[in-house]
Amino acid sequence: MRRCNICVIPAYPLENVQLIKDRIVIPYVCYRHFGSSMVIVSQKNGEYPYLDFLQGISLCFLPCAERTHMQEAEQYVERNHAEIDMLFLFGARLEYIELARIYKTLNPGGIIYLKLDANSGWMNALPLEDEKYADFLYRADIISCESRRLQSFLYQKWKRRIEYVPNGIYFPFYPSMQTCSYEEKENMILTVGRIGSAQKDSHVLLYAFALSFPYFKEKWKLVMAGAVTPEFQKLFDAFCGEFPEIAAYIQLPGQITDRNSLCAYYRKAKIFALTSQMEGGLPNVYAEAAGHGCTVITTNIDAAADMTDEGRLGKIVETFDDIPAYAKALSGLCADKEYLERNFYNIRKYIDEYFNYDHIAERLHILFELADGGSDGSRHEN
Amino acid sequence: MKIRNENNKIWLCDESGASCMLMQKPEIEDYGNLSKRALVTNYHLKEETIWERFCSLAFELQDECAESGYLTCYLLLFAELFYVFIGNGQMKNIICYGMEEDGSAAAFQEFAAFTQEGSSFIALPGNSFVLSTLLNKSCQAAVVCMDVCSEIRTLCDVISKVKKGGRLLLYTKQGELPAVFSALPGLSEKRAFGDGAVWSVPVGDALLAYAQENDSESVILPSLNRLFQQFEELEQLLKMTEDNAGARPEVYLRVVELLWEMEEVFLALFHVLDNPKLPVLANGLRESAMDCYIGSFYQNGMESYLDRFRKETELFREAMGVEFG
Repeated sequence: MRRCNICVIPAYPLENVQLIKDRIVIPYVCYRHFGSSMVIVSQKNGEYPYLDFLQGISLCFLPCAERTHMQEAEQYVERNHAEIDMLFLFGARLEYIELARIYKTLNPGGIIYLKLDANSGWMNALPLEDEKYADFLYRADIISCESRRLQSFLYQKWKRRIEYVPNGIYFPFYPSMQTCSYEEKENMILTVGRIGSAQKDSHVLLYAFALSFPYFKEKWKLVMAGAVTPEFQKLFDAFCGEFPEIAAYIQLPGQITDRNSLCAYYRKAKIFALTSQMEGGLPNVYAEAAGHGCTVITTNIDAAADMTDEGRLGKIVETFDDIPAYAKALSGLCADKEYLERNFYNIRKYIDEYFNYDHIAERLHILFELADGGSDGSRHEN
Repeated sequence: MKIRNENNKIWLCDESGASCMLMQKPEIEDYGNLSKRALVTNYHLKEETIWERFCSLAFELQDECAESGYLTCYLLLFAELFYVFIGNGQMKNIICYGMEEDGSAAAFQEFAAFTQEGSSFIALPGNSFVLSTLLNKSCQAAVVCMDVCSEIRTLCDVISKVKKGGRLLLYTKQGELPAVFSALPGLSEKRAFGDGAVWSVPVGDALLAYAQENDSESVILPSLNRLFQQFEELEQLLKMTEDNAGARPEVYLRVVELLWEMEEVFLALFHVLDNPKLPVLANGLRESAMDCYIGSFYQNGMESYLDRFRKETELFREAMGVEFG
């Protein structure tokens, strides 16, 4: 199986924090497995200290003076198309239309891998009647999405192959995950994200916790980690005034940028809670939490069945913005100590087997070979 | 968009003041001469000429579809169909694929019935399934909304319903046809006003031959044969994995390759599949075969991968049995 030169072009100038997200980590792990080089092409957007995590890749800065990021990227592809075996694009964005056209025109044998990072609402609204846009999707050799529900929907809507590639975990970035044990866990319910943003429905978790509180046989605490919107802060302040005895068990530690500190919460939490109305694919925090053995409770977002292996490894609350239903599921989960302990091992195994980026990169290697004209049947190189 | 009738000439006029002549009263002294058979009995009884009825229906069309983006197309089509309907004294079937449910069909249907008792204008939804219920060569003309019909194969399926010597009318409110249709023979006859455009194509040998090469039948039969061959090979490989849980990695890789090819065929046949989930079931099985292939090298998770592979195999087999069994 041949090795390839990977080029990653974000739709907008790259931010440092994105270097450790799926949009960069997936091509990076592919590079580690079957790449001979990897370059990220972007206009400079601040400093990139996280680049230290990504050994062997290069960052090519585009000029910022005259043209937009994407116009410069198109020029880059025009000049360097022959050196790109796999062009990695992130998001089904209109900005990519011309870039994809240029690349496939100049290098028809090259492979475009488009990772959708989308939910069914967004995908349903895509302008497929736009010929150029439809052409862009047609030019992509491999398209992947992050949930099986969306995959099934897109197969029928686009009538083309769609791969399921979830947002997972690159274990070398999380050395503490391997040593995580159930014994160090506390009765903690954790959520991570921008607390109070419209799509997160954070108030559901807050009030579901309050509704569950009288039914807890042991004391549980709720940690809502992440930047807090002013609206939610106001709501929380009112909550504290109304239910001070419950508020004492709730923490809002704010935004946690240090990964080790965040992992410390994952290590302690038994339950990871999501109340979102929608997510752009599979939340990145899911695999981090589940990899630390947290049992997941989630609303029925596109990826809910994948996150819980059809409900085997967690709870799905079918309705959105339904505080009583969420509270019932949450209190039931908190009461089931045996399930939580058993699930600690099961969900970690599940993550290791299906959300491990090393494994996913091997799948992508096979897909790359198939899209490139068929695998040669030779022994797979690890 | 408005029409006006001046001295037996109907004009199309838009808001900017541009206009073009839609139709002039034909110089035919006696419509009865067009056929040995009497044309329309109620034509004489109502003391209304075909031209008068055409004009009144054109105005009805304008009023009924004032808000429709297709009004220009409808009027252009109406003018084209005038000659199709009165062409000879035979009853005519005309089908229209993908016409919007905006009341426009009524004017065409009334004109069909007026010009010849028993003639029909049938508006079909823009769904290629309906075409499989119609006999080939059963119509004198077919009208196709090209904003709904996006595939060559669907268009060829429509063409195959038209008799030789008939007429194919294509319309769009986009001004031009998508490039994918440029190879269609006989596209030179185009009438357009604003963004509304209509192509009138005679259904002759060249067009019928083109349709025969590209319609569903020509695609489906060879594809099905290919699919059955692939499935046969796949079954042999699946049996090998069942007989020997630790089958060689190459077996799983071949399963992956076969399913990759089969997905292509499923997608090509998508509009005739009873179960639209077949391609995604093939994908699920392919993915689990990839896991087994990778797992056999890593010695990690193989038990789970094999378990899932067995489940996906079962699901796929069952779906194939229901679809083709």
